[in-house]
Amino acid sequence: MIWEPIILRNKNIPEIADIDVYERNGGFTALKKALKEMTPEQVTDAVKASGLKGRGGAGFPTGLKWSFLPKGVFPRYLAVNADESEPGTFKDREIMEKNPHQFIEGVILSAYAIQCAHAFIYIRGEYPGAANILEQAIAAAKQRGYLGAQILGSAYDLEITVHRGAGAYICGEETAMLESLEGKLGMPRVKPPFPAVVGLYGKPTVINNVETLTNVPPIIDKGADWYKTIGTEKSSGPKVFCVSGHVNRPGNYEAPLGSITLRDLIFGAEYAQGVRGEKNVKGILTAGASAPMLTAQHLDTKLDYEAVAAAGSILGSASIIVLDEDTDIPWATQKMSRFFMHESCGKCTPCREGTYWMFVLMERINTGKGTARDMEMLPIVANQILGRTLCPLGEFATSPVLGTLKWFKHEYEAKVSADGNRETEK
Amino acid sequence: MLSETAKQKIQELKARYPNARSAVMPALYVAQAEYGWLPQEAIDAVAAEMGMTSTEVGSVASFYTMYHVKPVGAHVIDFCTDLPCALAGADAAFARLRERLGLDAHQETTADDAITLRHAPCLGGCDKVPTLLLDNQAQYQNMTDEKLDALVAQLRVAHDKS
Repeated sequence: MIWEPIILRNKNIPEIADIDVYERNGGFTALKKALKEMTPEQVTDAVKASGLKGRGGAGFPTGLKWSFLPKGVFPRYLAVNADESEPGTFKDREIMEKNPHQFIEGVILSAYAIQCAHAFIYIRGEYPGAANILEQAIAAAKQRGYLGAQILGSAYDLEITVHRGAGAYICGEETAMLESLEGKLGMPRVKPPFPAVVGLYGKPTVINNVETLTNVPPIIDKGADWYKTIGTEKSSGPKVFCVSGHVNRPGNYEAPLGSITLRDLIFGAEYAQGVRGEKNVKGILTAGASAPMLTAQHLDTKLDYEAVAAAGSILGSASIIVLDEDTDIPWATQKMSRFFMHESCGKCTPCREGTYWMFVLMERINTGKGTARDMEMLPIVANQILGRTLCPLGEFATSPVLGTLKWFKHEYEAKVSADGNRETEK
Repeated sequence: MLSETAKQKIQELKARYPNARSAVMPALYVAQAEYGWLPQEAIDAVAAEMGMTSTEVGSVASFYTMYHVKPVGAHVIDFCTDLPCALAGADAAFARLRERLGLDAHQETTADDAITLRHAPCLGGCDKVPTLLLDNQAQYQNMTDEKLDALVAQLRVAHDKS
């Protein structure tokens, strides 16, 4: 069955980035309904009842997150995480560039639900095109009375500010993002207090991902009961899967959570259409560089949060990178180790030093200078990072090494020698 | 010296936020657009407009990779060599481009200061690889060797004219 997208509606309606086209296709009906017929609490309750979980990676229930805001404390803020920087992730970019009004409507609805008058969209600096499209979408919404003072004649006011990042993966971590938005270095805060209580400018703050909020208009428009019929009992709704690497048709594909397997996504005619050159799958990353690698034996894993966790990895942002049978796994691991070394913010010593040493060890192994002892050191270094950092970047950084050692130890063994002097093939 | 227009722009940016300090990142972009990079003079000028110390502004500028705290060429190419691009041969394309630009080991900017070429972390263009970001302004995707050569030629012409 072909799924009709409700997030990537641009797949069926290519011109939906035009606000007229969006309106003609039901755009802003959810906002009209919410402002005329629903209290903010009712909007929150609907999102809670829908079972929507955060699509940025952590998978935390969205409505529940909103309800953590302390009562009666104002102002409060909505900070939208559009700092999509995980290698292999490009779903929020497509949503913002191709279906921007549904996303903006989701921001407005969510801001109304939490009674916030100023929302911020923190977009990574490397997405100048998407940032410009959002600025235009916000201006268009304002012109039509969907934003600004007394929205659609109600008593509700909202401003949205687009804030461009400047190249730092760490700013996708929610508290680092708040620091950056406050004009400081993007370094994570100690939690607790959680942002819901002490967030942006010390005020109660909700942080949600772009894709998460793009789910809100259809939930309000068609109701939580309808939404819950999509996906599984524990993982409701549709999900955008980013597929990259050695596939014939890389791209974003939307499907209900739990409705397809990795095999369907990689080989299906309506999805990535198989591995290039008819080769076999060797490794699969399900949440970019941050997920422990899976292998061909996991191809029949269903794509929902619980099933991928049961297979030993995480669904996270659902960034599926496919590696074919000819891929040099320690080489690919070094690529990911380099990324985390570069992106570690340096605040926590185990992450700052550990990511450096994991990269050095990987480089040594890949250049034929590695010893068996270097191989043993990799998990030792990784385990000294785990559980000793403020934010998940440290944990993510261990995934490439620990995940590949689990399944592909023989590839490491083939590259090391007793004296660190292995002849390398040129 | 920051132009009056730039100073005014920074003051406008400050008004967009509940706390003016939030405008330091957009203000640094404004200064970088004027100077081409962020010499100490630019950091000092932003600090004066922001009411922050130069140390505070300098620390923000040096934390984020899109601010150039060292001189760069007239155009900056941030070329993605992270895993999804690398699986499509981005390393070879990067090495070839370096050679084309006549860059020695550890050299990032061409001798005539026309082009700086840097490794970029994942740019989120993984479905259209290889991907690059030009001058922090635009992404170029599906960059074959031919398209890279054409882009470099175009940038060189633009540089020679200016």
